[in-house]
Amino acid sequence: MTEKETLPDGEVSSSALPDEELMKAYAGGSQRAFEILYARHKGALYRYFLRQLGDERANDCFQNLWMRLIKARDRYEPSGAFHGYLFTLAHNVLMDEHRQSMRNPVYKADELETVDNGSQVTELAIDGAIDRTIDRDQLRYRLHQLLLTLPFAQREAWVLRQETELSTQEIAELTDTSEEGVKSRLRYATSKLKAGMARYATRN
Amino acid sequence: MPQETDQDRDELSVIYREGSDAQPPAELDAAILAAAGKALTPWYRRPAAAAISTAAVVILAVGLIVDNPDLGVPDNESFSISEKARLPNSLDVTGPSSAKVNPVNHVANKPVPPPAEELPWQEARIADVKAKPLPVSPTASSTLPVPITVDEDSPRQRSDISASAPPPPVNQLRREELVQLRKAPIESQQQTFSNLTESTDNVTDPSVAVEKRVEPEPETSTSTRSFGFSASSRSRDTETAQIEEIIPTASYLTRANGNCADGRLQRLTPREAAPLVICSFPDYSQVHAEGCDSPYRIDPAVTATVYRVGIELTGAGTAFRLRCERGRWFNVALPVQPTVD
Repeated sequence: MTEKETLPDGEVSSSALPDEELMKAYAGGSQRAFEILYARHKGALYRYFLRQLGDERANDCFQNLWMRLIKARDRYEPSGAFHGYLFTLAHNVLMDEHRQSMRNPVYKADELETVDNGSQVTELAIDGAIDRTIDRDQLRYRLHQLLLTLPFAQREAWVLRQETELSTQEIAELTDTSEEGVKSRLRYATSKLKAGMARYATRN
Repeated sequence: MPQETDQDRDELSVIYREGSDAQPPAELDAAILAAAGKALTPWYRRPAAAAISTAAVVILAVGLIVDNPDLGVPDNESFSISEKARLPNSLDVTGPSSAKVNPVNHVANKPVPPPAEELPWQEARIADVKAKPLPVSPTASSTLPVPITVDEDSPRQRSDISASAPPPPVNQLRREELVQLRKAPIESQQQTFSNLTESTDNVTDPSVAVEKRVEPEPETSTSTRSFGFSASSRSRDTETAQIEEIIPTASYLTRANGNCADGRLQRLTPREAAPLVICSFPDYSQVHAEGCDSPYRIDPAVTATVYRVGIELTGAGTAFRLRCERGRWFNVALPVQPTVD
């Protein structure tokens, strides 16, 4: 936060500005402010969608999120942490996508069963030379697949906890639930993920 | 209820974050940044805005001019055309090709309009139109292919016509009426005399041979008109002459107007048509009300079928139709289209 100067034409000259000021600068016409904001948050937001939806749907939701942010730039009022505002928008996008997927489910029962049994991962493990690097990659792959098997609320809470620095209280506000509810979701999610990873580790 | 321990969470978090640097595709980055920049650009500053704005202005301008031709550019040509259009009397009497105005008579008879420089050109033009009389130039008539001259007072002498032809009494016709007549549907304009006469009454003789010179009755001589027209033997009416619809304003022939009376189409009786004779000259012919004087002669080759509201003149390969409107004769067959044999 050492540099908070802006150019006379409103162009942001420093990437050290807080998110809230960058957002206001963008609403004031600074393209550079948006680029800084985007660079700051694009990874976490993209993974937020990716871990819950998969590549294709994650791309759509990610773009939808930023379009909403662009449209809402004039209405933005900094009343809290910007990343909380940003992930609230992301949560809304995800909920819309979830409602749509309920009408057109993406993950079918047999797919979930495959993931639960770990057969897909097992086949991959049997197939080739296994070294530690591959094991770590497979562990991540396994974890990501297990995430997809979690209930929506538990999955979102767990991903938010990993991708953001939001507190339990902030996650509760973001997802419109109680703090205890968030804690419960996190506990259930962690337990299921741990059990799934343990099964995989036992087989290998 | 399962218990989440920090150790469990840490182990899973480590696995989750190891190599978890998934980033959106570069194309997605570019699309989003472009959308963000585009949102900051007002629509009127975008590249397509200039083209759209220009097209809109052109369309509006063209539409405005088409709807209101008087807003056209006042160059010389447009003035000439507009003079034809706004001078129904002179146009119809002398034919469209005789719309040239004798500048001498034109200047001599018109009131002095307000200086054009002091008015917008549209207002100056309107003032000029209102101020101008409708002159008939014998010079123009004699040089045009279908000259028809009007002489209200001295129809018999062509020299008199040239010397003393007053401007047509435009006041006899209200401008609104002329505009209304000009806007008559084309279908109604395409009626021919023969069709029109079918619904007439008081028909006694459909045609009148004009070889016979008939002395006019005294009361008709007070207001007579003569019509001159070229009678080229090589041209022939293609029967495409059109007649404007005439709104009946009188139910019978008004002799005081010299065989020209408004009303329903109705052929004249021989007696009513008698004052009209066609006087032929080597270069042109005229319709006279009182016969021909030297050097004119009655053209035996031309017959006149006179109707109550019009007269159809037919000669060797030539046909003209005149129409009576508001007490004045109009050549409605102009231009006569020659047919190539």
